[in-house]
Parts: sequence; structure tokens; C-alpha cells
Amino acid sequence: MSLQDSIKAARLEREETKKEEKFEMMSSKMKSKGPGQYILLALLLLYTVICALPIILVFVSAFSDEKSISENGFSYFPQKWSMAGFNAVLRYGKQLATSYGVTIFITVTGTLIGLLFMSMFAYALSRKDFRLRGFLSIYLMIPMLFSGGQLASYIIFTSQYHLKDSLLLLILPLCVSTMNVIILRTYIQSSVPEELMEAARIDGAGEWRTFFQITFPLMKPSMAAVGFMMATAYWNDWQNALLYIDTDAKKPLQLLLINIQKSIEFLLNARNIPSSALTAMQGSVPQYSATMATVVTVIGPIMIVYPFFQKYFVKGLTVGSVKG
Amino acid sequence: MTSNTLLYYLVFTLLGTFLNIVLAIAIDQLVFKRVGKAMQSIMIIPVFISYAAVQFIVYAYLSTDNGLLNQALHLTTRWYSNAKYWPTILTVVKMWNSVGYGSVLYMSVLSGISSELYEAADIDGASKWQKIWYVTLPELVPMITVMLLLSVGGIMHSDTGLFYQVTRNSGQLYSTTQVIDSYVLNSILKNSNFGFTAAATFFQSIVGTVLILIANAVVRKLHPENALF
Repeated sequence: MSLQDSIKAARLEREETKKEEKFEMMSSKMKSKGPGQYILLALLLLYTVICALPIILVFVSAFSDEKSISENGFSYFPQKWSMAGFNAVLRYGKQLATSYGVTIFITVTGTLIGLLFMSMFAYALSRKDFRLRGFLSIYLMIPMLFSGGQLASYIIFTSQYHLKDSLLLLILPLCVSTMNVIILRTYIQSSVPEELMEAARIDGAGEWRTFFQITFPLMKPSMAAVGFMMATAYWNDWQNALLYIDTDAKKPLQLLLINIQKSIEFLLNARNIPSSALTAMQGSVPQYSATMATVVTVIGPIMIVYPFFQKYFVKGLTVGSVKG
Repeated sequence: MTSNTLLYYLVFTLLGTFLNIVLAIAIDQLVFKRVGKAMQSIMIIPVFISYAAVQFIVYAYLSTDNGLLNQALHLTTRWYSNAKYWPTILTVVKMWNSVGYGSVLYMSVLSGISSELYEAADIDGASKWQKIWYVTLPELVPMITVMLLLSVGGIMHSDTGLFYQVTRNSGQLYSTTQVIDSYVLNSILKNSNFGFTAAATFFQSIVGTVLILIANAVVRKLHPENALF
């Protein structure tokens, strides 16, 4: 049998057993739909609502009239709806688009580079006949066991590597992490059958081919999980940006949010002298609704894109479970 | 500062792990898969919201004059200048942010449990709770061990965003919210006190290393197969 055939056969077999498992789980789980299930459902629904409420508040206040917020506070039921907040956001418009570009760029590039390197690293570590395995395992563990900490990295990045204000500093620090490599390695060892890789080797495939054609495709569930975690970390990273990025053209979304918070606080502080001017300005500068509108523009698109990504990571993670 | 760091670590790790597992098992047990999946999607969303944005949400609830909480309950509490409220606030925010996401990892383990185990338990006449206790939980133990082991190394580290952003880095709250990481960040940004800061980060690293080595040795003794190295 050629290499291709043996892979195909192995895949078919896996899929068939998966299907059988699914069917069995379905039939065994479909039996019980007692009152316990409904209590469980109610509790989970309650928790879901608790999770969603803060996010809903952001959306509601973004569309609220500034006056109803400053007079009656933030509310789920504002007296008046308004688009003024979003109009004010248009003033940041250009910077917002730039920041979007930066964030998307670092998220995609960082996740792809990281996944490639980490999966290869994990594959090497999973091979028992690899000579450097022991050394590399220890090498991998060191940063997890002992790190220089924030200050040391800051000094190294800025005065040794001279990378201050460089996009590389948004990508590289989060790229490879010990924990993710361990997760991938564990997955290869536990879920990718060793016989499959051996068969490929016997059929004459080199290490690269074995990795990219056999191990790599079978690693998809763990890659989805790790990739998802990485993308989240990149998207949410504000600290490296705050420490290292100065130029407007390189500011990711999170730094933009921090800047907006600071400028609004500055506005508030500058205003505490004449109280008549304060009330007058509160009417004209929609700070609360504008801030919330900015938050919406930052988190809104994720929520639109998220369901599509979710298909990959949750399905990838829940291999073998019942399809929805 | 150090005791803040340690206490928050303990509360977040223990409560977080517990809630992650409870949620994962709850969703896994639910028969209504489609609804469960939809609910899970919503629960994960908070983790996508960075603390730079969460900060605005918390402000909407806690602002003295305009906050939802003060308005709804007719209070005049000054949340942002009262340090005693913040341990609770930060714990709630942290759990809201991370539990849904944290449970995904455990869900992935749960879905990998062979249905044969449950069938065998069924044949033995196990109840639902017995199945959770004797089949599901033991299958989760390796993942729990690894996650705890990994987190022990970060015992001196905290979720900096939570302590720096959500508290608006307010000096009045430092007594209950200042952790080593936020102190270090502050001193880097203000370019001050590098000597003491360097000592603090060194201390963080040493303690983390020693603890992870101890924890690993203990796990190695009890369950060699779950040890990291």
C-alpha cells in the first residue's frame, strides 16, 4: 500500500469510529430529559444572561442620549436614544481604522507564526528517538520556570535590541509560549497514533513530509484550541503597546482605548473650575456615549467575526462530541 | 503588595478552577446541545474584551454620579475611592471575564471521554451524580493537575490588566489592589525606582521557580504520570 492509501485508510477508520461514537452518545443521552435537565437549563441560562448584561449595557449606552446618562446615569432603559456618540467617534475615525489594521495584522501574523513554530517544536519533542529531545525539553521549561520579568524584558527590548516603537514588539513577546508547546506535545503523544507516523516512515516519508502530511492535519483540534488562545492574547494585548508603542500609525486598538480614557479624564479634570461651563460643556461633548460608542466599535466586530471562528475552535475542541 | 498578589492568586485560582469545572460539566450534561452551544458562545465573549475596554464597562456600573449601581440602588458610594470594596469587585470581574473561556479547555477533555466508560457505568447502575463523580472527574484530574502546576509558577504574577486598568490605576485603591506586576508596570512607565523594581521582579521569579519545582515534585510523588517533568 502506498503512503497516500495508508493515510486515507487510517483517516476513514478514525472517522467511522467517530461517527459510531457520536451515534451511541446520541442514543444514550437522548433517553433522559427529566426535570433535572430543565433546572440545569434554567441555571445555565441565568449565568448566560449575567455574562451578557455588561456587554448589553455598553451597546445601550452607546446609543443613549448624552443628557440621559449625565442626569440619570447609565441605564438599560435610557430616556432618549441618540446617535451622537457614534458621530463623535467619527472624529477618531481615521485613527480607529489604522488601529484596526494594526491589531488584525499582529493577531493574524503572530498566531500563524506561533502555531507553525510551536507545532514543529511539539512534534520534535514528541519523537522519542530524537537526540536533542532531553536538552530541548529543559530549554523549553526554563522560561516557564524562571523569567527575567517585566523590567528585564523592557530593558532588553529597548536598549539591547533597540526595538522600541516597533510592531515586532507586539508580535514576538507573545509568539511562543511553553504552555502551548506542552499542550500540543501532549496532544501528539496522546491522540496522534504513533503507528501512523511509523507507517509513513516505513513508506519512505521524510521527517518534513511525516510532519506536514500526517501529524499536522491530525493536530487540528489542538491547533484550533491553541490558536484561539493566542489570537485572544494578541487581540487583548495592551501592555506591550502601552510600554513600547509611541507612533499613532502603530497603535493597536487597545492602546487607542487607553488613550481615549486618558483624554476624557483630562477633559474632566480640566473642567473642575467653573461649574457653569461644566454643565454647558456636558451638553455639547457627548463623552459618555462617545466612549461607549468607541468600545462598541472595538468589540463589536469581534462579535460579528467570532461566530465564524467559533466553528473552528469549539468544534475542534469538542471532537467526538455530539454535533449541534 | 506581596500579600495582595498572593491572596488574589489563591482566590482566582481556586474559585476559577472550581467554576470552570462546574460549568464544563454542566454544559456537557445538558441534553439541549444546540442551546448549550449558543449559551457557551455568549459565556466566552467576555474574554474577547480586553481590560482596556472592561474598564469602561466597570465604570458604567460603579461611577459615583452616573453608575448604574448607585442609580439603581439610590446609593452615593464612592467606589473608586474606597479600597475595601475592590477585592470583591475584582473577583467578580475576573470570574465574569474568564470562567466561560476557561471551561472550554475542560470541555475539550470531557468530549474526549470515551462513551464506553459511561455505558459501563450505566450497566453497573450508576446514577448521574455517581457518573460525574467516578467517571467524569477522574478523567479531568490530569488537566486540572497540569493547569494548577502551571499556574503555581505564576503565583507572584497577576492579571496586570485587571489591577491596572479596571481600577483605573487609582492611588486611593492601592492598599487592596496594588500587586507586584502593576507596581512594576507603574515604575517602568514613570521611569522611577528601577533598583527596587528589579529586586521585586527577581523575587517574583525566584519564588515562582521554587514553588513550581516543589509542586512538581509533590505531584511526581503522588501521580507520576501527571507531573510536568
